[in-house]
Order: sequence, then C-alpha cells, then structure tokens
Amino acid sequence: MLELAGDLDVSSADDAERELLRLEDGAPPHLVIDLRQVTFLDSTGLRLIVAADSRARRSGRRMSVVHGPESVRRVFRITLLEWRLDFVDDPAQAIGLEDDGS
Amino acid sequence: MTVLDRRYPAAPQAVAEARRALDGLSRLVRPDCLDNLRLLVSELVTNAIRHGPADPEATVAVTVSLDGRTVHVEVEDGGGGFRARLGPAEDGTSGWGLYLVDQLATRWGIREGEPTRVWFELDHCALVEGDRLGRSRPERTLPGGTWPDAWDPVLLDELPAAVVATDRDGVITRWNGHAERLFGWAAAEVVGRKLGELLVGPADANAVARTMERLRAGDPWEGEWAAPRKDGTHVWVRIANAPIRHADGTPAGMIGVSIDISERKKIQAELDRRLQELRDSERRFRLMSENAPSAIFAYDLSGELLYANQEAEKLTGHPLEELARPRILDWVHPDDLARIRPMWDAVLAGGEMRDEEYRMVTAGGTVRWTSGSWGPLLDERGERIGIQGRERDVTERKEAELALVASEERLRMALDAGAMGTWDWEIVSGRVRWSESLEAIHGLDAGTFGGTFDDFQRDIHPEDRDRLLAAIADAVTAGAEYQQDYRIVRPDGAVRWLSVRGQVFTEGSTPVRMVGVCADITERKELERRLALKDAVAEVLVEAETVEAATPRIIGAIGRAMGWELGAMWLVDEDRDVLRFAGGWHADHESKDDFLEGTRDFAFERGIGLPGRVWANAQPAWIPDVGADPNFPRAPIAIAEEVRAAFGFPLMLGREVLGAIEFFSRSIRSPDEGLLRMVRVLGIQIGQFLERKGAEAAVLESEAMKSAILGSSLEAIVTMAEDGTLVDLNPAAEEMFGLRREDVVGKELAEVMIPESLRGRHRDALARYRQTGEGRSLGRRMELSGLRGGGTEFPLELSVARVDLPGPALFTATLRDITDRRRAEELRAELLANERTARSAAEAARERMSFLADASVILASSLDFRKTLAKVARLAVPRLADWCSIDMVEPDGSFQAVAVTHVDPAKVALAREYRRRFPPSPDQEGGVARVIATGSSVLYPEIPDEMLGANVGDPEQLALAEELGQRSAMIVPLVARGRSLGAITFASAESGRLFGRADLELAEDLGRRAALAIDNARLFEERSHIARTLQRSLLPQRLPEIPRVEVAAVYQPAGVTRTEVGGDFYDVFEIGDRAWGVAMGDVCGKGVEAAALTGLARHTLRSAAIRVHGPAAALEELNEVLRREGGERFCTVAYGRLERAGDDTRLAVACGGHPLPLVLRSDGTVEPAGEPGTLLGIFEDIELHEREVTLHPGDAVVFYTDGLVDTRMSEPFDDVALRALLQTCTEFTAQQIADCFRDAVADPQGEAPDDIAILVVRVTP
Repeated sequence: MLELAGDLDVSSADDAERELLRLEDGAPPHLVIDLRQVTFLDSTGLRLIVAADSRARRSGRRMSVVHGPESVRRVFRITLLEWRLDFVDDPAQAIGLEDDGS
Repeated sequence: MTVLDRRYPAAPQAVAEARRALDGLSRLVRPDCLDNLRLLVSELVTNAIRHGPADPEATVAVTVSLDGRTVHVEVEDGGGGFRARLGPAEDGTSGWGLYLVDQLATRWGIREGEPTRVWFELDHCALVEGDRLGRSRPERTLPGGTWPDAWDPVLLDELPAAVVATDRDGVITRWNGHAERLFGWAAAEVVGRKLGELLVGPADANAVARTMERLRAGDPWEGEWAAPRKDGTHVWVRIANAPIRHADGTPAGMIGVSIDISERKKIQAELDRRLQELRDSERRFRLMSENAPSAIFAYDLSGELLYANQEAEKLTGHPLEELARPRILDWVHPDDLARIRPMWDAVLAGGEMRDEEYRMVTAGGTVRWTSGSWGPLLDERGERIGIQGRERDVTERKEAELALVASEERLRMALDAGAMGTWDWEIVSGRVRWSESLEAIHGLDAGTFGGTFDDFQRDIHPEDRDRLLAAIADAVTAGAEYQQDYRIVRPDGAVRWLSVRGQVFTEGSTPVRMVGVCADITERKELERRLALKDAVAEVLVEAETVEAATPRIIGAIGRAMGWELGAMWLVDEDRDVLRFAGGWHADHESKDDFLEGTRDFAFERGIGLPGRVWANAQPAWIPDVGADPNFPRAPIAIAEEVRAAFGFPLMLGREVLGAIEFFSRSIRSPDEGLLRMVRVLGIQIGQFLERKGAEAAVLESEAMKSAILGSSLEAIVTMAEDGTLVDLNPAAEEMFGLRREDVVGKELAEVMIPESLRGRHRDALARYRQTGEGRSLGRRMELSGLRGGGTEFPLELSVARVDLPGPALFTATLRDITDRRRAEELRAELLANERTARSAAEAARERMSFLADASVILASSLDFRKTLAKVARLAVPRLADWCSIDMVEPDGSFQAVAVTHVDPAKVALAREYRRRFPPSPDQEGGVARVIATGSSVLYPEIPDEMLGANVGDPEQLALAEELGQRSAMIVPLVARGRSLGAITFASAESGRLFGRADLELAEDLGRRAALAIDNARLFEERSHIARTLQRSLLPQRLPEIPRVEVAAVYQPAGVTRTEVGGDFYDVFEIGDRAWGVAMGDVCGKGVEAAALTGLARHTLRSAAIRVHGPAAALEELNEVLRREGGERFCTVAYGRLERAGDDTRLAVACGGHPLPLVLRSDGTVEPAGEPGTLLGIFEDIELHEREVTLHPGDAVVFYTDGLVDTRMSEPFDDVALRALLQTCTEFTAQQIADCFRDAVADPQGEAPDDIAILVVRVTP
C-alpha cells in the first residue's frame, strides 16, 4: 500500500516514483495506491499512476487506486482513465476484506 | 486586464509556485473554474520546464489576464523547446498534459518563436461585477466540454464501458456497443425510451427518480447495483453518472458510464466465505500447530497474517505484530537472497518452495540456518486462499556439515599441495628421517627429531600404539602398502590425529625401507566426533519420555563421546534458589563412584562452586585442576578421589538458566574452546527439552484433521485409530506414499504404509498400548522406513501424537520423507572413500595426457613420417612399454619395420635382428597381420611362456623371442581414412608390467594420432610429387640452340615443398629458318586449372607464331583463344620474335599486360623493350604495341615474371632496383645473369614466396 499525499506534480513525482518502485521491488501480489491525501494531481501524476498500472499488468500483479478528492478524481475521469484503472473508495475494499458499500 | 505576471527559474518547483500564485485570484475567477485553471497552468509550466532550453539561467513566465468573462493565460519558456503532442502516446504514459489542455480549455494555441508562448482561454470563468461568490455549482466538465459534438461515436464504442446518455427528461439519446452487450438491448430498441423504465425495476423507481433529480440539479452520482437486463437476469454494474450542459451552461441531460463488476462481486463473495471458514478453523489449527517443532505462518491473499505460532516468534525474533506481513525476504541473509528471491516470487504467485535451506538474520541480528517450506494455503476444495509456510531451525546440522566439508577440503588441498609430512625408515639400520613439515606436525622444532624408530614410537598415543605398530609390522611382512589414522601426543601434551600412508620397499624378499606421508587430520576427526556427540544427544532427547529417565543418558552420551569420566546434572530449585543434584553418570557403571556419591547432597547457590558459577554467568566454565581452584567446595572429595579437570555448562531457555551439567576427568586438562562452544549449544537444546517436557501436551481435535490448513500442509499427516485402522491422511501423505485416500481409509495402516519387516513391531506396539495405555513411540522423533505405492521402501522421519479426546485413542503422525537427506549423508561418506581413488585416477590420466601431448608435438614436428615414427617409438619406451616396434604396409602389401626400440639399449639390436629375421607378413594369421587386416587392436594382458612356444614354431625364433621377453603385449592399428597403414606393437618384458584397458586405450589413441600424421605426410608427398611433375611438363624440356645467341632460364617455384602448380611459364622455340619465338607468361591463379590454361597458352602461342608474322598478331590470336576457352581466367604474356639478319639480331616485342623485358646493352645501359599492352583473355578489344629493338653482340634481353618484383615484400623490388641490378651484370653470360637475378630475390633458405621465372637471351660478343 502506497499512500501519497500533497500535490503530485513534476516537483514531487520523482520521490513518489522512487517509493513506488521500491514497493514493486518486493513483488507484492496486490499494490494499492491511496490518493486520498493527494490535494492536486496533473498529467505528471497521471503518468506515474498509468506507468505503475502498466507494470502491474505486465507482471501479473493486481493494482488498485483509492479515489482522491474530486479535484484529483476528475483528472482521471477527463482522461477516461477512471474506467481503465481499478478504482476503489477505500483500501479495505481494495484488498477485499470489507464490503464495498454497494 | 493583467492580473498576474510572474517569472520563475525553470525548475520543477516553479510548477507548484505558479499554482500557489493562482490562489490569489480566487476573487476574480469562479471557484469552480479555479481547479481547471490550476491544472492547465500546471501542465503548461511542466511542459515549459521539460522541453525548454537546458540553460540553468532559463526562466518560465506565467501571465494571467481577464477579458470580460474570459480568462486568458500565457506561459512563456526560455526558448523554442515546446513540443506539442496531443493525446496519450503509444506507451500510454505521456501526452496526457496537452490532452488535458485540449479538453479543458475553451481555446488554446502556440506562438512559435523565441521564446515560445503557449496560451489558453477559459470562457465563463472570470467574475464580473455583480457576480456573487459561492453561488454557482461546481461544473462537471466532461471530455469535450460540449455535448454531443465532442463525443466521437467511434470513441464511444471503443470505451471499455457501457455509455448511456439521456436528455434532461431521462430519455435515452446514446447507447454504445458495450451497453448493448451489457444490458442486452440494441441501441435501436432503446433510444427514445426512458432510462428509468429500462434499467430499474418498479422497486427501484423511486431511487432512480431521486437520482435523476440530483443529476438535474448538477450533482454527480455513482454506485454499484444489480441492473436488470433485457432477458430478465441481473448484472452487477458500477455506474457513474454526471450532468451535461449545453455550451451556454443550461442542463442538457446526463451521461452514465457503467462497467461490469459481476465477476468481482462473485470473487469477493467467495473470498469472504472462505475467509470466514478460515477464521472458524483457525482455533482448531492453532491448537494443532502450537506444539509443532516448526515455525508456522499463514497469510491470506492480500498478505494479512492469519496465524503464526510461538515458534515463529522464537525463531525469527520478531513479535507477532512485526510478522503481520509475509516478510521472508526481509530476513533472508544477503548472500542467499539471489537464490531465495525467485522461489519466494513463485510462492507469492501460487507456487511452492520445499525444504529450502538458507540463512536467516533474526531480529536480534544473529544468523540461523533454517529450512523453509512455503506453499499455497488451500481451502477444502483445493482453492488457493493464501500462503502458508513452515521454517525449521537447522543451524547446528548445517554448521557441522559445512565445517566437515571445509575440513575435508583442506585435507585434500594439503595432500594435493604436497603440504604434508614425509618420512623414510631404513628398516635395517633403524634410522628414521622426517621432513621438516612432519616435525612441525609433531610439534617439534626443525631438526630436533631424534631419528630412531623409538623416537617415533614414543609420540604415538598410548591407546593407538599397539594398533599402529601391528599395522606397520603387517605391512613390512607383506611388503604392502598401509594406511592408518592414529593419534600422537605432542611434547606440550596436545593430542593430534594423523593419517599415515606408507609403502615398503624390498631387496629380493627382504624389506629394507619404508617410505610414506603423514597428514594432520585432527580437525576432521574432531568434527566427526562432535557430530557423533550431537547425534547421540539428539537421539536421547527425542526418545526420552521423562526428564528423570533422560538425565543419565544425556550425561552419558556427552561423556562417552568427548572422553570424560564423570558427569552430573544440576537443576534450579526455584523455591530455595539453589542448584540441586538431578542425576549423575560415570564411565564405569559396574561400581558406584565415590565422588558422585559424595556430590549428591550438595546444593549450590549462585556463583558458588562449578555449577553455581555456570548458573551465575550463564556461560560454560573450565577448571584445569579442581584441587587447585579456590572456588570449589567439593575439593576435599575431589582430591581424595583424584578428580582433576572439570567443565560445566548452563542449560538455557532463552536467557533463563534452568540448570547446569558438569563433567570431570581424572587427569589435568587445559581448556578446549571448541568443546565449550559446542556444549553451550547443547545446553540450549537440553533446556528446550526440559521446557517441552514440562509443558502440557497439546490437544488435537479430530475435526482438526479436516481443517484447511491440515489439508494443504506440506508435511504429510496420517491419522490412525487405536485398532490400527487408517482413519485419514492428507494430500501430502497421499503423495508421499503414492496412495489415494479413498483406496486406503478404513484399511489397516500397517498393510498399506509399513514395510513387511516392520509390521510386526508396529502391531506389537499397538497391542501393548491397548493393554497398558502407554506408548513408547509417542512424542518421539523416529527414523523408519515407509512403503511407497505398496512397493518400494523409503526412509522417513515421523513423530506420533495421541489425539486427546475421550473414547478410543486416535494417533496422528507427522511424517517427512528423508530420502534426500539420507542420500546426502551417504554421498558424504563416499566422498572420503572416493578421494584416494580419484587422486590416483587423476594422476594416471594426467600421465596419459602428458604422454599424448608429447606424442602430438613429435608427430607435428616433421613431415618425414619415418623419422617421426622412430621418435614416437622412443617416446613409448619406457613410459608405456619395454619395447615397441612399428610396421608399415608397403605399396606391394608387404610389411616393413620402420622403428624398433627397447628399454635396454643392449637389446635394441636384438629386437631389430628378431624383426629382420622373422618379419611379420600379411599371410600370418595372428598378431600384426591380423591387426592390420581387421583394423582392430588386440590386447594380450598376460602371455604365459607356453603360449609363446605354441605360437612360435621355429626353435631359433622361440629362443630369440624368449630372450627379448614378453609378459604382456598389445598391438594397435595405424588406421587413417579407413585404410590400415600399419601397426604399433607394445610389449612389456623386464618391468613385468601387465597392460590393461586403460593402457590399450592410450595406445589406440597414440595409434590414431600417428596414423593421421602418416596419412598427412603421405598426402603431402603425393601432392607435391604431382605438382612437380605437372609443372615440368609445362616448361620446355630443353631450350633450342640459336646460332651466336645464348639462352638461359631459371624457374623457381614458391617454396621448395610446394604442392601447388604455379601459373608461370616460358618458352623458346624455332619459328622458321632464322626466327625464334621467345615467350614469358603468367596465368592468374594456381593449381591444376591454371596449369591447363598455361598449357593452352603455350601451345596456342607456338602455333600462332607460325601462322602470323608479328608478335602483336600472335598475342591477339592468343587473346581470342583464351576468351573462348579460358573461362574467367586471364594471363599476361611478353612475346618476342627474334630474327638474325646478318650480324644484327632483331627482336620484335609485344606485351599483353606483362612487365616489359629489359635490354642490357654491353656498355651497361638498361632500357625496356616494347610498350605496355592490355592483358589477355578478358577483353575483346585489346591494345597491343609491337616494337623492335636491335641487339648488338654483348647485348642481352631479360624476360621475367612479376613474381620477381613482388617477391621482396619489405623493400619493394621495383623495376628501378631491377635495372640497377641488371647494370651490374655486363660481361655476364646469359646463365650468370639469370642466376644473379635468382640470387637477388630468393631468401637465404633459397625459398621464394612467389614463383619466379627468368629468361635471358644474349647475343654472344
């Protein structure tokens, strides 16, 4: 589980990417990226998430993304990526421990 | 109106700073537009930084201005670096920035130039006077902004989701392909109908109405629900709805995007169910595994810890909460990580890792060897619901093994390196010589060994002395080799183990001398002893049922293995806080030991006496002589009973000392650190044993057998009823025994799983249990045999527990297949045994290799195979045989001895004589003739004298043969390319050596190599013979005589041993009465083809010279013929027509691509004759010039081939040099001139790298 926080743009993406790659090194069967604490996300952040998703697909790993606030979420919606990535409302739902409130 | 104008250094921070600056515009821009503004500015600044000039001084400027309700933004980079690319790139990771700009901005564009500016505008976003803040709803902007133009129908269909759009009344306007598939209705059926009627049942109608209401109000909605399909079934979808507006902002309807989540729903429900089952079974599992000797872990699929037992905490040193995630890679030692990581990945992916031994770094930082088995956690239907693992601590076994291997390796290296002691015993004189290294092994300074057999004897350990001396005596008597391991006592009292190998030398039948080597093998012996100790103690610990029964056995096992005479165990009495006697042992169990008896009633406080000291320090302690120790209360008894050295060690459980064990010897002993280290470990084992015995037996419920964990356990588990019936077995047991559960449950366990030889014991034990209620096997770890698939036996390790339930007893056995371990142990035992064999085999192989290598060098040294074979024969004697002869098949089929050698020089002549008088011949039946005829070698391992007599009829021959002697012989053929060229005979005589398979193989190898060399040499000889013959046929046999003209020629092929025909030719022939043709030519290439063309050229020229008059015309004719007949080959020719006219001699010359002949006038001037022309055989139109020179008496003309010029590669022998050389040849005869040229170009060995032909025509003075 990777919790990202603050503005995710070109000034912070490198740190986030390093953290992400470090996690992936451990070959987790399921990676959850939590965007709830992210206050802003632009195409640089988008790129980060999409790249992680591609790597996950390639290595047969499941990857889920926990929705961030509306301003973050809409970026995924505009780019039609909301339908491609596995978005969930909270991490418990991602790992299938709790009912997802449907 | 510009409201913001900032400039930032072109660094990533600029992006965040620019966004922050926009926050100041909140009173000027509609709040719901601010998000877009921030996002777009972020994108453009990012782009400017990424693609702007790489100048550290570069800046990025951001300007925001307002025009009515439109917000206008410009971003300027330091230079023209802007890259515009719309939409996601092929890798799916870039291009999103401009895509966002394009989607969100009302308008945007790029102003190319220096610097580049990118701008965009947002309409309806700037606030004007009168707007009230906070009233407008956040706009849900969808791709394209305005509906429906931006929604490309193709794009809609490609979306991996069902897209449905309605107008503001809920009437469907769009229904894409995915929606058709998901909900079952075709677009044509539904467009125009109300969404609410289709996708909801009556019960949901209200909810839908409310949702539509909220959508109309501008709120998005999303959720998951079971939507009805056309066929009446339901499908789980996740749906997201958003309002859409017309360009002027008025509501236009809504768009909903749905994805099918039914699969996920199904999986999730299944997962929940299984997890619940797992939790139910967890309690059972916990009970079952708590008592297991392994650390056990179980995690669910998301990596949450389901269970870990106490052993898991103990082994890893991590408390439970730190084990919450599977983290084996965190504790794998770095050196093992590369090996374990792929296995672990496989485990995570659902695979298995079985009994993998690796080093674990515990939380405390210590390194332990552990054996890990990990695999999927399966539910009862065999589906994977997580991962589970077991880790067993195998540190001790592993370390002991590694140490043993290392010491064996060292011994081998010591032997190989010759770093061992050697000795030499002259039996008659009794003198013994030791190498310095042997003195060092014995702890003596160099040169101080006394030099007699008694000096040697004195050092032998008393217990080994008789055995060793007897072995030496046996060896002397038998004249044989001997090998013994024995101990010596060094002057300082240290005991060392030595391994000695010796060999006896005799004179006649009297042993005169013994020579050998000694190596110090103390470390290996010590390790073997310690391993034995470890095993002995482990055996006691697993077999003993009570502490009381185990105590004397434990002490005895240690005492016997390490050679101590007395021992006692002390346990802490917690009430009184003292150590009390718990049991003792002494080597002589016949009688009571007075020291032990006297020691029973002591009780030691912390720090007092040997046990008290061990207790207080929790460390082993050593006392070389207890009588001299100030803190030894039992000293009076010890002195009386002559007890001297002692050591003790604590029995530990974690950091707690449970007790101590002490040992005594009746001699003084100095501390042995290795021993103390080992007993420290034993103390921990014994401590654990004490604790385990003290703990209550775990409860096993019969249902536990059914649990998911049991079923998927990697360890085989078998349950048996009291009457011996097999009640159940898990899949691992099915696999181990090769049985199917349904076939065997209900049968007698003994019938299907126990080999016949063990069944009786098993049944007796079971009967005893039924009678007495006691089972000796319970709780013990045993190694037995199992029966696989009803047939083969295999070794297994098992421990049996009784399931503690009321009623008839049930037993559960945990089994491990130890075939591999057994095999490894056997392998290790073989290692030592193989060591010597391998060494001698290696030496023999090395010897053979070096022999063949030497032979190969000789065979390659010369092309004269007779000389070579003689050398080979000399090489074979005496390394391979005592005498050796080589016969070759002559062209007429007879045999010729080409080499005969004998180890005794005096007998070489004899051997030759024998071969000369009684040569083997093809019509003989055996021996050389047969070998040559069949091409197969023969081996006479041992030739009895009778056999010689039987085969040799002639008495004279027999006498000679007997004198030569033949104990053993072998004959190998010389076969190359399927042809028998001859044979080599090897015989042994004086040495008494008997040939074996290995010798024959070596001989055959030598034969093959020799045959190949002979074949090559012959081939070479034949080829060069052909070449020489052919070449001669292409040159005139002799030169014609021309009145008053001398003609001389030199022809030298490249290299004396050449096998190829060269392309040079020359010719001098009579044309008519007073005319002669003089030709010099060179056909390109070598070999037979070139030779054919050479012949063609020569003969064509001869006939043309007669038919046509001038040289140019003759060459033209030659050109025609060559073009017609010569294929792709060409040639160069210089041709002259020599005519005598009175005193004058005239020479008309034409040259086709050939070097011009040189004319040497009698006054020493040199000039070329003729003019260069085209080479012949290729072109239709050729240019040839005919020139005439008049030769006066004393003038000479030299024709040559360009081989002459090419020859001297290092200093070009060009025609300038040629002319200079020629100038020195005035007054020379034609022959002298030719020789002079040849000498100038040939190297000192007389070999020229290219063919050289020189033809000199000189008018006699």
